[in-house]
Amino acid sequence: MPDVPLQVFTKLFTTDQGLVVQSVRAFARVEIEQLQPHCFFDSGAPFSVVTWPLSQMVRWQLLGVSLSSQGASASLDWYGIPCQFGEAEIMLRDLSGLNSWGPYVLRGKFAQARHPLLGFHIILGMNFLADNSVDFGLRNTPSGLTGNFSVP
Amino acid sequence: MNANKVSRCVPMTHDEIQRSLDADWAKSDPEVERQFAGQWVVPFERRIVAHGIDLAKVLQEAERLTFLPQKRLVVCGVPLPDSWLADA
Repeated sequence: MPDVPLQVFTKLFTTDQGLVVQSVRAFARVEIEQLQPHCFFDSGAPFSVVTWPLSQMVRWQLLGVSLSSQGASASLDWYGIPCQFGEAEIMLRDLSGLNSWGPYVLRGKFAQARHPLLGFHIILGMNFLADNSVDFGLRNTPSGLTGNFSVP
Repeated sequence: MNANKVSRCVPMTHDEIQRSLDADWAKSDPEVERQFAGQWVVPFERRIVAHGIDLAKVLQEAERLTFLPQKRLVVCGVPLPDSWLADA
């Protein structure tokens, strides 16, 4: 399976006690139509999320307006923001910028209202790996964390 | 629930590579983030040729200024500075 490298960025913060702490996000280079949104992988997210207004700018197929599991309804909200469940196609780019990989199916929550801070983002959730048979890896190296998707 | 999509490696054209480089620049340049946070931007040859909150208008303006059809332009959203920890 070829590897598509992720961009692992670190941002430092300082606590009120003067301790410098690092936060880390793994970003994928993605294309969805002519948009190249910020896109990070969140292993704590069961579903991918397309934030608003990005969700209004790209073509996607509505798959449902509610969720249920074993007869019980499940929330489609994302941080209190109403969402619809849908599907779009997305391409991954490698870091060299010379190749695109895909298309991959992007299934998840398509936000119907603005998040106060996240508006130009796609969050790839765990279902992205399952839906596309993609592996995800993170490794500590002398130069820091590196990560990749291994794509079929 | 595998979507059974067959992925493939697609070599990028010269135009696509240029758009990608422009997008990478726009998404990582601190000055772009400072000036255009919360807006759509169209980067072209390492400068922002159009920006605003209405994507359709931004694309129209970029098309007018670059003489390129909209489909040959790339669009990026510039996140707000505090978005890094937004869902943490």
